[in-house]
Amino acid sequence: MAYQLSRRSFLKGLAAGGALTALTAYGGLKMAPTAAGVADGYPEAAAGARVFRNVCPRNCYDTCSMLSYVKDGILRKVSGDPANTFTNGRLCVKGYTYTRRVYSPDRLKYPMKQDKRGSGRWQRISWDEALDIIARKILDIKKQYGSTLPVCLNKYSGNFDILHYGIEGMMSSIGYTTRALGTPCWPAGIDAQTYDFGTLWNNDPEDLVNSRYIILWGVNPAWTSVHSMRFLYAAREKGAKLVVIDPVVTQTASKADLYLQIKPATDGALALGMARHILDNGWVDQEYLKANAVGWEEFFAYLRREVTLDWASKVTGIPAGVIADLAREYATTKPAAIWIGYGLQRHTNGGQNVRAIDALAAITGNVGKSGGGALYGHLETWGFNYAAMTMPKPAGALGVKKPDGTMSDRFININNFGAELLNVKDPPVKMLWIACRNPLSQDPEPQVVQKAFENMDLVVTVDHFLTRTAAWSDIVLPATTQFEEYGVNASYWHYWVGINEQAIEPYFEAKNDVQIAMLLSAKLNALEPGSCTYPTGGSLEELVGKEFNQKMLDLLGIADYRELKQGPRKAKLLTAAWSDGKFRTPSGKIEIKSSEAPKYGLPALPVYVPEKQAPPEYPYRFITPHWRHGLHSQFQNIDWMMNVSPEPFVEIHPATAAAKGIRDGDWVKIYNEIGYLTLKARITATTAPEILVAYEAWYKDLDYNLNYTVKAVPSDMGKKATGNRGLAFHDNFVNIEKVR
Amino acid sequence: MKRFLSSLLVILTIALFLAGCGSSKKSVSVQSGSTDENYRGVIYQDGLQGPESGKPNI
Ligand code: SF4
Repeated sequence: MAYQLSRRSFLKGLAAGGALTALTAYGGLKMAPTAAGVADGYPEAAAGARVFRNVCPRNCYDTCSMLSYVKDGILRKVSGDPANTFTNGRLCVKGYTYTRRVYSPDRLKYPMKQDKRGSGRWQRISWDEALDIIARKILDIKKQYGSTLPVCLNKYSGNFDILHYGIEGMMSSIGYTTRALGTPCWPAGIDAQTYDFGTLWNNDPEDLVNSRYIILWGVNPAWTSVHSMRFLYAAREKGAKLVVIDPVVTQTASKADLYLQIKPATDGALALGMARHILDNGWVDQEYLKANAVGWEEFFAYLRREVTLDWASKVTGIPAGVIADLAREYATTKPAAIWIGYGLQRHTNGGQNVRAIDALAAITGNVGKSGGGALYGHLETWGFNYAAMTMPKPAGALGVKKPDGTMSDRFININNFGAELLNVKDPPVKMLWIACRNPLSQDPEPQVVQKAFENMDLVVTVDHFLTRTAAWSDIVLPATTQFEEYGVNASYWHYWVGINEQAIEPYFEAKNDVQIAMLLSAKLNALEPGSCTYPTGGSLEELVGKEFNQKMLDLLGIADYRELKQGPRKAKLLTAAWSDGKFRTPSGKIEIKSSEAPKYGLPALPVYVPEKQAPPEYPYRFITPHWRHGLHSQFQNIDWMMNVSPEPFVEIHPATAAAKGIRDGDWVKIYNEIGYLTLKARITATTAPEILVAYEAWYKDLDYNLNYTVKAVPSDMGKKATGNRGLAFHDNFVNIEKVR
Repeated sequence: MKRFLSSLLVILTIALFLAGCGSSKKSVSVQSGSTDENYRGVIYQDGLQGPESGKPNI
């Protein structure tokens, strides 16, 4: 299906992103001043400001190395750290708002207690009182149920700093508890790459400059990884062609040489159609396959038997001739890179689609090559000790008995948190600790999560703001920002690791998660000696030191972690992932036919699994990607963001709008059998007729939560590497009507 | 006549104000919520066996 897109509506849809474009649209690889400039090259430093090194820890591809400028104890300004060649001295539009975040009048200043959950009647309490209530509840639970299993932790990525895994450590230190396990973001793709290569590992993104052909497949770095755009532009200046495949005409698509509007969740069919064409034309890299892969003969037999260009065209909506051209260009222009986004694996066939794309990279010999690769993410720089997290259980702690007679924590699915919380029994969950998360905003089915909250005796949330989740808690504890604490951060995209220095004193009574654990430990042990093993003293910087082992130091080429105070270090990894040919699969080769996938009830080959279809009563697919002024539920609540983006909207294709009698700016209701959303319509041909697009965000003063319509339907993969399958966020179907 | 006109103007203003207050335009705002108060979600799989808590949940 070829969608009609007039130049005017196309430009209109993109005009709002002009500011961001300005940030990215510089050509070549001009580097910012080097790290030496930190001391003397900045006017702030000359004017007496102290400069500290920080890292933006907000679950973003770019995990920017930052510099913070402090004068008279006040954070005056933040910038990117030029010592990190990926960050290159610049932040994204979100990062530049940090001074507004740190000193936001909305920030939580003190521990607070709510009269009745959701009443809004908050009362300031002391840390001692807050910890006393919490500690007594933990001890009561242990007495009543014989274990701490009714205490449940839900923590994820609001702050990805390694020390924040101390929250998990805090839970371990009180006994066996219930944990929300899994990752909502990217697990299907992780498993797909694990089946194919043994783990996920992308080429250094700075190596994209060496690509001659780049396919951005379901990824929108102009919004979500703005620093990567520099390398993409540089590659293009050297002659590379940039292709974007996406159901939505994103801002990144506007920069591409070729844009293909694909039907959602059909990416595997496109990859397979391309593979068949490559096979038919003899463009397969036989030498590479013979040396590095297994299962390709069976894969080729499947392609010959079941895949044609016409079939791929019918499934994807992309003309057969265009698929053929794309296949030819990709297979014959070397090296060629594919960047696989996270959105395309948020489907019931998402992992399988990633496997088909991996296979495409493998059969063309693009894996393990500089400028090539099937880039998804990596965890190669995350080999810390996790010392803050690894705490012994107190003596006599009881947990879930495993077949071998040992005990374990109890795990419930983070991606079906509400329903599983309602169903968990023997013992039930009675207390929730929520940190680095906002489940009542970001989880699917928040209405179910909220129901589960009703069964709780105590809900504690640690955050910077009174989020939707914090507002439904009994106790909120104010958290420090990265400028108020020590830490260390790695990226799941680039290869840099950086230390995070404390630049300013904590805001009012805010505390770091590890400090909270220490205080809780002291309180618990005062009430019941021996009830908690968490240390009660020690500085955060000492704890950072404990996170480093020899392997990490060697990887970064340093003898001591303190050297990171001189600047972040790039890990000494292979620039091209898998260029050593040492795949971590059971066979040691790329397993185009996976030996592991069938153990999880999945096809061994990357065959096509049909996409989920819309039911007749809910004919529109509701896609809910990242927002350019936010990162999940963070940033959009900051005043500078509110100024440029005061309210949410839903993007509707002109044909759909005409059929429904909806005009630009009308109020519309989006609904399905579980939830609804009322918001303003924005008519734009950047989406397709059967797709509605709204962006995930937390607007602090608006009752906006698009997840009320999203069911917790699992994606196909994720169980192997992350403990639970992912979420098919984008297989969400709704109807729409005009409200007025 | 002048008095009649000013009275009319006052009445008109009040009428317009009241009409504005009662307008449906005022009642529409960004909203979200549940369409099925009984919905309690679905358990898609059972017997979850996660890794030990010593593994970071990335
Ligand atoms: S949100 Fe991402 S791109 Fe922006 S400053 Fe933070 S890490 Fe950098």
